[in-house]
Amino acid sequence: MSTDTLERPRVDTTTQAGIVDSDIHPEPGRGAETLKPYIAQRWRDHQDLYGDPHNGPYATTYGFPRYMPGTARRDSWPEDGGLPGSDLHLMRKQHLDRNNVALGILQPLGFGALARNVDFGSALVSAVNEWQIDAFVDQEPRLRGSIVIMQEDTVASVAEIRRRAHDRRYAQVVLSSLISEPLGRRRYWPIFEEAASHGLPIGIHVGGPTGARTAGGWPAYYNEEHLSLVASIQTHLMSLVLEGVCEEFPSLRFMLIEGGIIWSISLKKRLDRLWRTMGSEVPRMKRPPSEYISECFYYSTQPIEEPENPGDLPALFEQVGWDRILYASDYPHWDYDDPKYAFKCEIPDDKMSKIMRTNALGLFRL
Amino acid sequence: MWRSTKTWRGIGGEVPWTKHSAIAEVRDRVRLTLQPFDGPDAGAELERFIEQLGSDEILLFSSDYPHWQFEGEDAMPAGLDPDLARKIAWDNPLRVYPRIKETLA
Repeated sequence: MSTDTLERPRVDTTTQAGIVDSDIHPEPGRGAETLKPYIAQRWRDHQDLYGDPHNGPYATTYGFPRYMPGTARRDSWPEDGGLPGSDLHLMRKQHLDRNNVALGILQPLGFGALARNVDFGSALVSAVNEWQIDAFVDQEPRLRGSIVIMQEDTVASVAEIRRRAHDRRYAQVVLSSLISEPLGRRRYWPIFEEAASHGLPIGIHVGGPTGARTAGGWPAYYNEEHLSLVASIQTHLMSLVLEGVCEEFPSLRFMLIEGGIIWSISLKKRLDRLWRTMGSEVPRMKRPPSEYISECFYYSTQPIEEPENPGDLPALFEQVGWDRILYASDYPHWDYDDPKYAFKCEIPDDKMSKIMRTNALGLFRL
Repeated sequence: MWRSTKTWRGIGGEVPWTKHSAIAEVRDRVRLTLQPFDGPDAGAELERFIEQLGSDEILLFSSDYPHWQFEGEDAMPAGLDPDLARKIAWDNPLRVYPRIKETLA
Protein backbone atom coordinates (compact mmCIF):
# COMPACT_ATOMS: atom_id res chain seq x y z
CA MET A 1 0.00 0.00 0.00
CA SER A 2 1.31 3.40 -0.94
CA THR A 3 1.86 5.74 1.96
CA ASP A 4 3.05 8.73 -0.05
CA THR A 5 1.44 11.98 0.94
CA LEU A 6 1.40 14.69 -1.67
CA GLU A 7 2.20 18.15 -0.42
CA ARG A 8 1.35 20.01 -3.58
CA PRO A 9 -0.77 19.52 -6.67
CA ARG A 10 0.94 17.62 -9.48
CA VAL A 11 -1.16 19.24 -12.18
CA ASP A 12 -1.68 22.94 -12.47
CA THR A 13 -5.29 23.32 -13.65
CA THR A 14 -5.20 27.08 -13.46
CA THR A 15 -3.84 27.57 -16.95
CA GLN A 16 -6.07 29.84 -18.93
CA ALA A 17 -7.01 27.14 -21.44
CA GLY A 18 -8.54 24.84 -18.85
CA ILE A 19 -8.95 21.07 -18.92
CA VAL A 20 -11.38 18.66 -20.59
CA ASP A 21 -13.16 16.09 -18.41
CA SER A 22 -14.47 13.14 -20.40
CA ASP A 23 -16.64 11.54 -17.69
CA ILE A 24 -19.10 13.59 -15.63
CA HIS A 25 -22.31 11.95 -14.40
CA PRO A 26 -25.46 14.05 -14.46
CA GLU A 27 -28.37 12.59 -12.53
CA PRO A 28 -32.10 13.35 -12.71
CA GLY A 29 -32.72 14.89 -9.30
CA ARG A 30 -35.79 12.79 -8.56
CA GLY A 31 -34.85 9.81 -10.69
CA ALA A 32 -37.47 8.54 -13.13
CA GLU A 33 -39.97 11.19 -11.97
CA THR A 34 -37.70 13.89 -13.36
CA LEU A 35 -37.82 12.27 -16.79
CA LYS A 36 -41.60 11.93 -16.96
CA PRO A 37 -42.22 15.19 -18.81
CA TYR A 38 -39.99 13.83 -21.59
CA ILE A 39 -41.92 10.61 -22.27
CA ALA A 40 -45.30 10.05 -23.89
CA GLN A 41 -48.40 9.57 -21.72
CA ARG A 42 -48.52 5.94 -22.80
CA TRP A 43 -45.14 5.33 -21.11
CA ARG A 44 -45.95 7.46 -18.05
CA ASP A 45 -48.94 5.21 -17.48
CA HIS A 46 -46.76 2.17 -18.07
CA GLN A 47 -44.19 3.41 -15.54
CA ASP A 48 -46.85 4.09 -12.93
CA LEU A 49 -48.33 0.64 -13.40
CA TYR A 50 -45.23 -1.52 -13.86
CA GLY A 51 -42.39 0.54 -12.38
CA ASP A 52 -38.72 0.79 -13.29
CA PRO A 53 -37.91 -1.24 -16.42
CA HIS A 54 -34.50 -2.47 -15.29
CA ASN A 55 -34.22 -6.15 -14.61
CA GLY A 56 -31.65 -6.03 -11.83
CA PRO A 57 -32.36 -8.09 -8.72
CA TYR A 58 -33.40 -5.18 -6.49
CA ALA A 59 -36.05 -2.51 -6.96
CA THR A 60 -34.18 0.39 -5.40
CA THR A 61 -30.47 -0.36 -5.66
CA TYR A 62 -27.85 -2.02 -7.83
CA GLY A 63 -27.23 -5.74 -8.13
CA PHE A 64 -24.08 -5.05 -6.16
CA PRO A 65 -25.07 -2.46 -3.55
CA ARG A 66 -22.45 0.26 -3.36
CA TYR A 67 -20.42 0.83 -0.25
CA MET A 68 -21.24 4.51 -0.73
CA PRO A 69 -24.85 5.80 -0.94
CA GLY A 70 -25.61 6.69 -4.55
CA THR A 71 -22.06 5.54 -5.46
CA ALA A 72 -21.29 9.17 -4.66
CA ARG A 73 -18.96 11.44 -2.73
CA ARG A 74 -20.59 12.14 0.60
CA ASP A 75 -20.28 15.89 0.02
CA SER A 76 -22.01 15.76 -3.38
CA TRP A 77 -25.59 15.38 -2.06
CA PRO A 78 -27.42 18.64 -2.89
CA GLU A 79 -29.19 20.50 -0.11
CA ASP A 80 -32.49 20.32 -2.02
CA GLY A 81 -32.64 16.58 -1.38
CA GLY A 82 -31.94 15.58 -4.99
CA LEU A 83 -29.48 12.92 -6.09
CA PRO A 84 -25.71 13.59 -6.43
CA GLY A 85 -24.96 14.97 -9.88
CA SER A 86 -28.38 16.62 -10.20
CA ASP A 87 -27.43 20.11 -8.98
CA LEU A 88 -25.60 22.12 -11.63
CA HIS A 89 -24.62 24.83 -9.14
CA LEU A 90 -22.95 22.26 -6.90
CA MET A 91 -21.27 20.66 -9.93
CA ARG A 92 -19.83 24.06 -10.85
CA LYS A 93 -18.70 24.79 -7.33
CA GLN A 94 -17.17 21.39 -6.56
CA HIS A 95 -15.67 20.62 -9.94
CA LEU A 96 -16.11 22.84 -13.01
CA ASP A 97 -15.03 26.12 -11.40
CA ARG A 98 -12.70 24.62 -8.84
CA ASN A 99 -10.68 22.71 -11.42
CA ASN A 100 -10.94 25.10 -14.36
CA VAL A 101 -12.84 22.58 -16.48
CA ALA A 102 -13.19 24.13 -19.93
CA LEU A 103 -15.30 21.30 -21.31
CA GLY A 104 -16.99 18.31 -19.69
CA ILE A 105 -18.62 15.33 -21.39
CA LEU A 106 -21.80 14.15 -19.66
CA GLN A 107 -22.32 10.41 -19.30
CA PRO A 108 -25.88 9.75 -18.13
CA LEU A 109 -26.09 6.27 -16.63
CA GLY A 110 -28.78 3.77 -15.97
CA PHE A 111 -32.03 4.96 -17.52
CA GLY A 112 -33.57 2.89 -20.26
CA ALA A 113 -30.46 1.55 -21.96
CA LEU A 114 -30.62 -1.77 -20.10
CA ALA A 115 -34.37 -2.34 -20.04
CA ARG A 116 -35.65 -5.70 -21.24
CA ASN A 117 -38.71 -3.88 -22.56
CA VAL A 118 -36.91 -2.31 -25.49
CA ASP A 119 -39.78 0.01 -26.43
CA PHE A 120 -39.94 1.50 -22.95
CA GLY A 121 -36.13 1.58 -22.92
CA SER A 122 -36.00 3.49 -26.20
CA ALA A 123 -38.54 6.00 -24.87
CA LEU A 124 -36.43 6.50 -21.75
CA VAL A 125 -33.08 6.96 -23.49
CA SER A 126 -34.67 9.51 -25.77
CA ALA A 127 -36.00 11.28 -22.68
CA VAL A 128 -32.53 11.22 -21.10
CA ASN A 129 -31.08 12.69 -24.27
CA GLU A 130 -33.46 15.65 -24.16
CA TRP A 131 -33.33 16.09 -20.37
CA GLN A 132 -29.50 16.33 -20.20
CA ILE A 133 -29.59 19.16 -22.75
CA ASP A 134 -32.36 21.05 -20.92
CA ALA A 135 -31.01 20.55 -17.41
CA PHE A 136 -27.28 20.87 -18.07
CA VAL A 137 -25.92 21.64 -21.54
CA ASP A 138 -28.25 24.58 -22.29
CA GLN A 139 -27.60 25.95 -18.80
CA GLU A 140 -23.84 25.51 -18.86
CA PRO A 141 -21.82 26.12 -22.02
CA ARG A 142 -18.90 24.10 -20.65
CA LEU A 143 -20.89 20.85 -20.85
CA ARG A 144 -21.61 18.50 -23.76
CA GLY A 145 -24.11 15.67 -23.88
CA SER A 146 -23.88 12.03 -24.96
CA ILE A 147 -26.43 10.30 -27.17
CA VAL A 148 -27.60 7.39 -25.03
CA ILE A 149 -29.02 4.50 -27.07
CA MET A 150 -31.07 1.37 -26.38
CA GLN A 151 -28.46 -0.78 -28.10
CA GLU A 152 -30.49 -4.01 -28.08
CA ASP A 153 -32.97 -2.39 -30.49
CA THR A 154 -30.75 -1.56 -33.43
CA VAL A 155 -33.45 0.13 -35.50
CA ALA A 156 -34.41 2.44 -32.63
CA SER A 157 -30.74 3.14 -31.85
CA VAL A 158 -29.98 4.15 -35.42
CA ALA A 159 -33.04 6.43 -35.43
CA GLU A 160 -31.99 8.03 -32.14
CA ILE A 161 -28.46 8.69 -33.40
CA ARG A 162 -29.80 10.08 -36.69
CA ARG A 163 -32.23 12.35 -34.83
CA ARG A 164 -29.49 13.99 -32.75
CA ALA A 165 -26.23 13.55 -34.66
CA HIS A 166 -26.32 17.00 -36.26
CA ASP A 167 -26.82 18.70 -32.89
CA ARG A 168 -23.35 19.87 -31.83
CA ARG A 169 -24.39 19.80 -28.19
CA TYR A 170 -23.77 16.03 -28.24
CA ALA A 171 -20.17 14.82 -28.31
CA GLN A 172 -20.57 11.05 -28.69
CA VAL A 173 -22.84 8.00 -28.66
CA VAL A 174 -22.61 6.13 -25.36
CA LEU A 175 -23.61 2.71 -24.06
CA SER A 176 -22.87 0.57 -21.01
CA SER A 177 -20.48 -2.38 -20.99
CA LEU A 178 -22.85 -4.95 -19.49
CA ILE A 179 -25.07 -5.60 -22.50
CA SER A 180 -26.48 -8.70 -24.20
CA GLU A 181 -23.56 -9.67 -26.40
CA PRO A 182 -19.99 -8.61 -27.17
CA LEU A 183 -20.20 -5.47 -29.26
CA GLY A 184 -18.55 -6.85 -32.36
CA ARG A 185 -21.58 -9.06 -33.12
CA ARG A 186 -23.26 -8.20 -36.43
CA ARG A 187 -26.52 -7.12 -34.80
CA TYR A 188 -24.78 -3.97 -33.53
CA TRP A 189 -23.13 -3.00 -36.84
CA PRO A 190 -25.89 -0.67 -38.06
CA ILE A 191 -25.21 1.42 -34.94
CA PHE A 192 -21.54 1.67 -35.88
CA GLU A 193 -22.35 2.53 -39.48
CA GLU A 194 -24.66 5.35 -38.37
CA ALA A 195 -22.22 6.75 -35.79
CA ALA A 196 -19.31 6.57 -38.24
CA SER A 197 -21.31 8.39 -40.92
CA HIS A 198 -21.63 11.36 -38.54
CA GLY A 199 -18.08 11.19 -37.20
CA LEU A 200 -19.38 10.42 -33.71
CA PRO A 201 -17.19 8.31 -31.40
CA ILE A 202 -18.76 5.47 -29.42
CA GLY A 203 -18.22 5.68 -25.65
CA ILE A 204 -18.38 2.41 -23.72
CA HIS A 205 -18.85 3.07 -20.01
CA VAL A 206 -18.38 0.29 -17.46
CA GLY A 207 -21.43 -1.06 -15.72
CA GLY A 208 -25.16 -1.51 -16.09
CA PRO A 209 -27.78 -2.91 -13.73
CA THR A 210 -27.87 -6.29 -15.44
CA GLY A 211 -25.57 -8.42 -17.54
CA ALA A 212 -22.96 -11.00 -16.62
CA ARG A 213 -20.16 -9.60 -14.46
CA THR A 214 -17.65 -12.36 -15.04
CA ALA A 215 -17.14 -15.40 -17.23
CA GLY A 216 -16.88 -17.48 -14.06
CA GLY A 217 -20.19 -16.66 -12.42
CA TRP A 218 -21.57 -13.96 -10.20
CA PRO A 219 -19.28 -12.45 -7.56
CA ALA A 220 -20.51 -11.54 -4.09
CA TYR A 221 -19.18 -8.05 -3.41
CA TYR A 222 -18.85 -4.61 -4.92
CA ASN A 223 -15.09 -4.93 -4.37
CA GLU A 224 -15.16 -7.78 -6.89
CA GLU A 225 -17.61 -6.17 -9.27
CA HIS A 226 -15.58 -2.96 -9.46
CA LEU A 227 -12.66 -5.00 -10.81
CA SER A 228 -14.69 -7.40 -12.97
CA LEU A 229 -16.01 -4.46 -15.00
CA VAL A 230 -12.53 -4.15 -16.51
CA ALA A 231 -13.02 -7.56 -18.12
CA SER A 232 -16.31 -6.41 -19.67
CA ILE A 233 -14.44 -3.59 -21.41
CA GLN A 234 -11.71 -5.99 -22.60
CA THR A 235 -14.40 -8.30 -23.99
CA HIS A 236 -15.84 -5.53 -26.17
CA LEU A 237 -12.43 -4.38 -27.35
CA MET A 238 -11.47 -7.90 -28.46
CA SER A 239 -14.85 -8.50 -30.09
CA LEU A 240 -14.78 -5.22 -32.02
CA VAL A 241 -11.31 -5.98 -33.37
CA LEU A 242 -11.68 -9.71 -34.06
CA GLU A 243 -15.17 -9.52 -35.59
CA GLY A 244 -13.84 -6.97 -38.05
CA VAL A 245 -15.68 -3.82 -36.91
CA CYS A 246 -12.48 -1.77 -36.90
CA GLU A 247 -11.64 -3.01 -40.40
CA GLU A 248 -15.16 -2.34 -41.72
CA PHE A 249 -15.49 1.13 -40.16
CA PRO A 250 -11.92 2.48 -40.21
CA SER A 251 -12.93 6.00 -39.18
CA LEU A 252 -14.91 4.87 -36.12
CA ARG A 253 -13.33 5.55 -32.72
CA PHE A 254 -14.15 3.97 -29.36
CA MET A 255 -13.70 5.58 -25.97
CA LEU A 256 -13.32 3.03 -23.16
CA ILE A 257 -14.56 4.75 -20.02
CA GLU A 258 -13.55 3.80 -16.50
CA GLY A 259 -12.18 0.44 -17.60
CA GLY A 260 -8.47 0.96 -17.05
CA ILE A 261 -5.61 1.56 -19.48
CA ILE A 262 -2.43 -0.37 -18.79
CA TRP A 263 -3.86 -3.84 -19.43
CA SER A 264 -4.04 -2.95 -23.12
CA ILE A 265 -0.25 -3.37 -23.38
CA SER A 266 -0.23 -7.11 -22.63
CA LEU A 267 -3.58 -7.71 -24.35
CA LYS A 268 -2.21 -6.30 -27.61
CA LYS A 269 0.85 -8.50 -27.31
CA ARG A 270 -1.18 -11.64 -26.72
CA LEU A 271 -3.71 -10.94 -29.46
CA ASP A 272 -0.87 -10.37 -31.95
CA ARG A 273 0.68 -13.65 -30.92
CA LEU A 274 -2.59 -15.51 -31.47
CA TRP A 275 -3.17 -13.74 -34.77
CA ARG A 276 0.22 -14.80 -36.12
CA THR A 277 -0.74 -18.45 -35.80
CA MET A 278 -4.55 -18.37 -36.02
CA GLY A 279 -5.26 -15.27 -38.09
CA SER A 280 -6.93 -17.44 -40.75
CA GLU A 281 -9.84 -17.98 -38.34
CA VAL A 282 -10.66 -14.25 -38.42
CA PRO A 283 -9.99 -13.20 -42.03
CA ARG A 284 -11.99 -9.97 -41.69
CA MET A 285 -8.97 -8.61 -39.85
CA LYS A 286 -6.34 -7.61 -42.38
CA ARG A 287 -3.67 -6.40 -39.97
CA PRO A 288 -2.30 -7.39 -36.55
CA PRO A 289 -4.87 -6.71 -33.78
CA SER A 290 -2.53 -4.28 -32.04
CA GLU A 291 -2.66 -1.94 -35.03
CA TYR A 292 -6.45 -1.66 -34.87
CA ILE A 293 -6.33 -1.18 -31.11
CA SER A 294 -3.71 1.54 -31.37
CA GLU A 295 -5.76 3.39 -33.99
CA CYS A 296 -9.37 2.93 -32.90
CA PHE A 297 -9.41 2.94 -29.10
CA TYR A 298 -9.02 5.61 -26.45
CA TYR A 299 -9.02 5.25 -22.67
CA SER A 300 -10.27 7.49 -19.88
CA THR A 301 -7.98 7.86 -16.89
CA GLN A 302 -10.27 7.46 -13.90
CA PRO A 303 -9.73 5.49 -11.72
CA ILE A 304 -6.13 6.10 -12.63
CA GLU A 305 -3.91 3.08 -12.15
CA GLU A 306 -1.54 3.45 -9.23
CA PRO A 307 1.66 1.43 -9.56
CA GLU A 308 3.36 0.73 -6.23
CA ASN A 309 6.16 2.86 -7.55
CA PRO A 310 4.20 5.88 -8.87
CA GLY A 311 7.10 6.72 -11.17
CA ASP A 312 6.35 3.60 -13.24
CA LEU A 313 3.26 5.20 -14.76
CA PRO A 314 4.86 7.35 -17.51
CA ALA A 315 6.77 4.43 -19.05
CA LEU A 316 3.56 2.40 -19.17
CA PHE A 317 1.62 5.30 -20.72
CA GLU A 318 4.41 5.57 -23.27
CA GLN A 319 3.68 1.99 -24.33
CA VAL A 320 -0.07 2.65 -24.51
CA GLY A 321 0.49 5.89 -26.44
CA TRP A 322 0.19 9.39 -24.96
CA ASP A 323 -2.37 10.32 -27.61
CA ARG A 324 -4.74 7.56 -26.44
CA ILE A 325 -5.36 8.70 -22.86
CA LEU A 326 -8.01 11.24 -21.77
CA TYR A 327 -8.49 12.69 -18.32
CA ALA A 328 -11.79 11.88 -16.59
CA SER A 329 -13.02 12.79 -13.11
CA ASP A 330 -16.11 10.56 -12.67
CA TYR A 331 -17.73 13.39 -10.68
CA PRO A 332 -19.74 12.99 -8.42
CA HIS A 333 -18.85 9.36 -7.73
CA TRP A 334 -16.91 8.25 -4.68
CA ASP A 335 -13.83 7.25 -6.66
CA TYR A 336 -13.62 10.71 -8.24
CA ASP A 337 -10.15 11.63 -9.52
CA ASP A 338 -9.19 15.19 -8.64
CA PRO A 339 -7.19 16.46 -11.63
CA LYS A 340 -4.68 18.14 -9.36
CA TYR A 341 -3.81 15.05 -7.33
CA ALA A 342 -4.82 11.98 -9.37
CA PHE A 343 -1.43 11.55 -11.01
CA LYS A 344 1.06 10.69 -8.31
CA CYS A 345 4.14 11.08 -10.47
CA GLU A 346 5.84 13.69 -12.59
CA ILE A 347 4.54 13.76 -16.16
CA PRO A 348 6.16 16.15 -18.67
CA ASP A 349 4.02 19.19 -19.49
CA ASP A 350 3.63 18.36 -23.17
CA LYS A 351 2.36 14.86 -22.33
CA MET A 352 0.12 16.14 -19.56
CA SER A 353 -1.55 18.68 -21.82
CA LYS A 354 -2.46 15.86 -24.21
CA ILE A 355 -4.14 13.91 -21.41
CA MET A 356 -5.81 16.92 -19.83
CA ARG A 357 -6.99 18.65 -22.99
CA THR A 358 -5.87 18.11 -26.54
CA ASN A 359 -6.60 14.38 -26.91
CA ALA A 360 -10.23 14.99 -25.97
CA LEU A 361 -10.56 18.01 -28.25
CA GLY A 362 -9.41 15.83 -31.14
CA LEU A 363 -11.51 12.75 -30.37
CA PHE A 364 -14.74 14.62 -29.69
CA ARG A 365 -14.06 17.22 -32.42
CA LEU A 366 -14.68 20.02 -29.91
CA MET B 1 -3.64 -5.93 -9.01
CA TRP B 2 -2.97 -2.22 -8.81
CA ARG B 3 -6.62 -1.46 -9.49
CA SER B 4 -7.87 -4.08 -7.06
CA THR B 5 -5.61 -2.76 -4.32
CA LYS B 6 -6.63 0.83 -5.00
CA THR B 7 -10.33 -0.07 -4.88
CA TRP B 8 -9.80 -2.02 -1.68
CA ARG B 9 -8.17 1.00 -0.08
CA GLY B 10 -11.41 2.86 -0.74
CA ILE B 11 -14.09 0.25 -0.04
CA GLY B 12 -12.27 -2.56 1.79
CA GLY B 13 -14.68 -1.97 4.66
CA GLU B 14 -17.22 -3.97 2.63
CA VAL B 15 -15.03 -7.07 3.12
CA PRO B 16 -13.50 -6.42 6.56
CA TRP B 17 -12.08 -9.95 6.85
CA THR B 18 -9.52 -9.19 4.14
CA LYS B 19 -6.40 -8.18 6.06
CA HIS B 20 -4.02 -7.76 3.15
CA SER B 21 -4.11 -6.09 -0.25
CA ALA B 22 -4.56 -8.15 -3.41
CA ILE B 23 -0.94 -7.40 -4.31
CA ALA B 24 0.29 -8.82 -1.00
CA GLU B 25 -1.93 -11.89 -1.28
CA VAL B 26 -0.78 -12.68 -4.81
CA ARG B 27 2.88 -12.41 -3.84
CA ASP B 28 2.24 -14.62 -0.84
CA ARG B 29 0.19 -17.43 -2.31
CA VAL B 30 -0.64 -17.12 -6.02
CA ARG B 31 1.68 -18.60 -8.65
CA LEU B 32 1.50 -18.12 -12.41
CA THR B 33 2.68 -20.39 -15.22
CA LEU B 34 4.91 -18.69 -17.72
CA GLN B 35 3.74 -19.77 -21.18
CA PRO B 36 2.48 -18.02 -23.27
CA PHE B 37 4.40 -15.03 -21.95
CA ASP B 38 2.57 -11.70 -22.48
CA GLY B 39 5.23 -9.55 -20.87
CA PRO B 40 7.62 -7.15 -22.59
CA ASP B 41 10.43 -8.24 -24.89
CA ALA B 42 13.98 -8.44 -23.57
CA GLY B 43 15.35 -5.13 -22.39
CA ALA B 44 14.60 -2.38 -19.91
CA GLU B 45 10.82 -2.91 -20.05
CA LEU B 46 11.20 -6.59 -19.21
CA GLU B 47 13.51 -5.79 -16.29
CA ARG B 48 11.07 -3.22 -14.96
CA PHE B 49 8.18 -5.66 -15.39
CA ILE B 50 9.99 -8.28 -13.31
CA GLU B 51 10.66 -5.65 -10.64
CA GLN B 52 6.99 -4.71 -10.65
CA LEU B 53 6.02 -8.30 -9.92
CA GLY B 54 7.81 -7.63 -6.64
CA SER B 55 8.72 -11.26 -6.10
CA ASP B 56 10.96 -13.76 -7.85
CA GLU B 57 8.79 -16.63 -6.62
CA ILE B 58 5.59 -15.97 -8.59
CA LEU B 59 6.50 -17.42 -12.01
CA LEU B 60 6.80 -21.15 -12.79
CA PHE B 61 8.10 -22.57 -16.07
CA SER B 62 5.50 -24.27 -18.27
CA SER B 63 5.55 -25.64 -21.82
CA ASP B 64 1.87 -26.34 -22.63
CA TYR B 65 2.95 -29.59 -24.36
CA PRO B 66 1.32 -31.05 -26.46
CA HIS B 67 -0.88 -28.10 -27.35
CA TRP B 68 -0.34 -26.07 -30.48
CA GLN B 69 1.10 -23.16 -28.53
CA PHE B 70 4.05 -25.32 -27.47
CA GLU B 71 7.29 -23.42 -27.98
CA GLY B 72 9.86 -25.75 -26.43
CA GLU B 73 12.63 -23.89 -24.70
CA ASP B 74 11.46 -20.64 -26.31
CA ALA B 75 8.77 -20.53 -23.63
CA MET B 76 11.43 -18.97 -21.40
CA PRO B 77 11.54 -15.25 -22.33
CA ALA B 78 14.85 -14.07 -23.73
CA GLY B 79 16.79 -11.64 -21.62
CA LEU B 80 15.87 -12.92 -18.18
CA ASP B 81 18.46 -12.73 -15.46
CA PRO B 82 20.03 -16.25 -15.21
CA ASP B 83 19.34 -16.46 -11.47
CA LEU B 84 15.68 -15.64 -12.04
CA ALA B 85 15.47 -18.11 -14.93
CA ARG B 86 16.77 -20.83 -12.64
CA LYS B 87 14.19 -19.93 -10.00
CA ILE B 88 11.39 -20.02 -12.57
CA ALA B 89 12.51 -23.35 -14.02
CA TRP B 90 13.59 -25.12 -10.84
CA ASP B 91 13.33 -23.56 -7.38
CA ASN B 92 9.82 -22.15 -7.65
CA PRO B 93 8.15 -25.36 -8.86
CA LEU B 94 9.87 -27.26 -6.05
CA ARG B 95 8.48 -24.84 -3.47
CA VAL B 96 4.95 -25.05 -4.86
CA TYR B 97 4.95 -28.84 -5.30
CA PRO B 98 7.03 -30.22 -2.44
CA ARG B 99 6.17 -33.83 -3.33
CA ILE B 100 8.16 -33.70 -6.56
CA LYS B 101 11.30 -33.48 -4.42
CA GLU B 102 10.74 -37.12 -3.50
CA THR B 103 11.22 -38.11 -7.13
CA LEU B 104 14.35 -36.04 -7.43
CA ALA B 105 15.87 -37.42 -4.25
